[in-house]
Amino acid sequence: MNSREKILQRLRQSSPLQNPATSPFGNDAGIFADYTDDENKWLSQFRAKFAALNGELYEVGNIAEAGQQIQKLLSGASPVLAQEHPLIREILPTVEPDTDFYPGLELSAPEFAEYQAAISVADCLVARTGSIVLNSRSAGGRRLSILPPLHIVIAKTNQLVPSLSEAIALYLKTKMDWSYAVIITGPSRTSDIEKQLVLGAHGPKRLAIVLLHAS
Amino acid sequence: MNSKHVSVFIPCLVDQVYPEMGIAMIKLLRSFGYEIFYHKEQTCCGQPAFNAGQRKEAIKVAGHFVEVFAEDGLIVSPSGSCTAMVRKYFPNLFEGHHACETAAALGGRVLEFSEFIQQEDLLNKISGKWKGRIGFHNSCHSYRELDIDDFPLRILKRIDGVEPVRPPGEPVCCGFGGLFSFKFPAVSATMARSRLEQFFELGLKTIVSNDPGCIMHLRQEAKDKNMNMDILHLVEFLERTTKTI
Amino acid sequence: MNTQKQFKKQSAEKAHDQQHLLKIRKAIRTYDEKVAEMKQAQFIDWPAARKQAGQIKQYVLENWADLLEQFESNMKENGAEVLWAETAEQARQIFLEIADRHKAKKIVKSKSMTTEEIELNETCEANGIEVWESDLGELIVQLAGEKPYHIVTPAMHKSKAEISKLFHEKLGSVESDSAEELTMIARAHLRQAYVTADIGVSGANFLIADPGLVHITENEGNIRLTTACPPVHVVIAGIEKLLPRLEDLALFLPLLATSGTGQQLTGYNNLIRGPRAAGEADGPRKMYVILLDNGRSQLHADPKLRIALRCIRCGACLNACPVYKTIGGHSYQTTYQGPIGAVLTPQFRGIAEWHHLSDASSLCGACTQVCPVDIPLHELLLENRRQSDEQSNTSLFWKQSLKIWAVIMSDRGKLNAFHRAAANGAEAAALLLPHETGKRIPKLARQTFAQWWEENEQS
Ligand code: SF4
Repeated sequence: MNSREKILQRLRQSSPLQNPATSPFGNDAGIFADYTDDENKWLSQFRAKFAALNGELYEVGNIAEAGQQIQKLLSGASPVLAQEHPLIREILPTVEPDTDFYPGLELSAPEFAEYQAAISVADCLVARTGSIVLNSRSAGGRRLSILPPLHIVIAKTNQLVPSLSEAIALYLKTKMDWSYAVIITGPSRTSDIEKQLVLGAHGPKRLAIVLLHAS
Repeated sequence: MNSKHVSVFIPCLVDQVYPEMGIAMIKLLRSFGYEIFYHKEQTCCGQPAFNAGQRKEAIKVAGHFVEVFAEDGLIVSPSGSCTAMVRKYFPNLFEGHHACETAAALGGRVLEFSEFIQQEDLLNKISGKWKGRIGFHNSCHSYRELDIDDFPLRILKRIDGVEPVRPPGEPVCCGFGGLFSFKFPAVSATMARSRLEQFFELGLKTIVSNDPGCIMHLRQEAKDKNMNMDILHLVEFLERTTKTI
Repeated sequence: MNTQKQFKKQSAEKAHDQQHLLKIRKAIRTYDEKVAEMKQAQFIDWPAARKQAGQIKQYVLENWADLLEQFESNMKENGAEVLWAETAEQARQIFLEIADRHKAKKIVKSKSMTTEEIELNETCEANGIEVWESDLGELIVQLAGEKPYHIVTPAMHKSKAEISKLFHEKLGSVESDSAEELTMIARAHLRQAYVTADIGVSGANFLIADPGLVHITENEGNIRLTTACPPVHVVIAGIEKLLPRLEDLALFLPLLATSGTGQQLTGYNNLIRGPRAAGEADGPRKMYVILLDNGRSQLHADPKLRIALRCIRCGACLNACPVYKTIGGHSYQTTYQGPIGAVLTPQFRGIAEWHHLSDASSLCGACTQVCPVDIPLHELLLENRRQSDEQSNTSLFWKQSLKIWAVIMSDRGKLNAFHRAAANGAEAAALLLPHETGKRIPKLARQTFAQWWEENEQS
């Protein structure tokens, strides 16, 4: 018998009962004090939570405004590496910084180190926790959003969900053909030294969202 | 005066070291109109051996306890820890033992002193006078095994002029832990000092508790560290301050 | 010196180390305030939440083998390789084979107690593989040549000044008294590691059976870099890290963050399904998951202690423990410190040698109160003590003392005789509990309660 079989056999022998399956967790409303199912409150909740996490939220009404906002954000942060994505393509012509589109693995580490900002989209925003959810397929890979010191996320208000359960449910409805996803809750941080909060430990020091109001 | 009866369980530490606590409790109970029933054969709940993992010895002593008290109605004790031993741990200790049912049933009838006041609705029978702030040290077993939270403070508040205070945050262990304090005396002493400092920092010099074990341990450390503090059992404090006695 | 003597000595020394005490108290006070605030803000009913989490973990323990197989087959489908290690030694061998296959000379590692458990760093170094710890706290203890002080905050015991000096000596940086500057020194130092390492090694917080997925939580971003940049990603995880379904994370992530650091959620919750999928921009081309047993399945056979395998390593019981706060993490000399360490270590590494950890508790129950998965830790310490006594590990002194005690305490006549013999104070008491330890026995009362009753109340 190999290790695998030995381990499994031991566990089977000592598994005590036929325990009826617990149902999957999905009771956010019954557990979390800050849960709200009122759609009209999600945006204000997200604003408050994201700000408390030291995130920067910029709300815009249309593509042109989004371009202007990004331009402002990028002053002093170039060159910029952007995800290859139709929405970003649509916004970027109105911006003039030094922008490249992320080509993937062929971009070497020293080249990557030059970039001062990254732009990507996201899958959804979680109101209750102020989080951004994105994955390696929808948001241009794993490296883009973690290496540069500034990460700009372009999202829309109709991407807001109330809590984690809804964010997970969204994924479970898809094929989930990504290899990596991440729930981002604020910029990179550490409190390892005397419990003092420092931003930008290893990942982005600044996390910004340009939020398009869906009309 | 009504003629309700109540049995008292005087833990070994009270019997051997602090009989005054037992006497104070009895006086108080009488002042509430109870007739006291005291089993002369009683000794100890068995906790020291149980906590040491020595089940055989624990059963021997706890078995004696069960025999002595089996027939009683309500039983009052001045110790949160011993009460917790009976209520919370007897079922575990006696698992598979012929006395298991009797032992487990005792749990519902043994009450720590403040629980008894609460259950019998005796709060308004307490009144008295004192002046000052008093720190309350809830024992771990009282707080976590018996769920005694702020009722002892409500008892203290019945005494005019008393302002009961708990250090902020969760109740912290005094460091006693029975044999633990013998096996790891330095650790245990530092824990006691940390606990005392919490009261000291708030300017509290009088501390009341509901557990003779904690009281013994805290008194010893206060003395060692020349901290001038008065550490009393709730029943002692009440006996000194209530009018009814 | 055996482990027990060493523990007694070291814990007593730490108990007298005032500076250490103040440092740890201060760090944990900050933690306590954040946790209390977050429990209030985030949970309607914290006890109900932990109860529910405990039940989900219990479900895992009762359907463990099936869920492991489900995890394995789902991960395989995503292109990850799943390997099983019965022992630490096997896990080390498996890892070395992987390293060899990929000709690895350098690995970058994120914080993982499981890799501490199998002493991966020592193994790599002995085999000529360079190890870069990427978590700031882990980097600090690695540079200092120490073991983690705490399962969640490994460098909790280090002051800013000590860290500054350490970085100056080991990394050649200028001294600084700013936490921010020190963090930036570490950031710059590690950037190189991510992009030049041959393998990224991580632990896991949760292994999701359905759909197959490895979850790892962090704040710094070092795990993201460790699992994104190197061409190979190796996960080393204890088999108890399972959760049945992805949905369960909606409860466990807030629970873990609240208990671990007082956050609503930690900064990055990474969900890793496999190596880079076809058509993705980047990511490792190989992913391995090493599932470590190392005593867990044996512990599962113990119906009383099995419940300890619910542990999600949040560290809350350490922070709540007045003994941990007095003796510090290093006194334990174990991978897992504090109450959970005192429950698990004797079970994993032998009760005979490690039962002193279960003895070193006042059984105050603060650990049980805070545990987010509802593990009755102090009752398990008691169970360890029972097993230890059953295996005749109790020292002759205590065994005999309590035997005599039991004889006296089960017979009122003997107790009375004992007290009479001790009429002049503690002499007979000293017989019963000699001063082996330096703790003094209180003087016995001149008259016991029983005698008082007899004199005053006997009608
Ligand atoms: S035993 Fe409970 S409190 Fe302790 S680390 Fe594990 S999960 Fe956290």
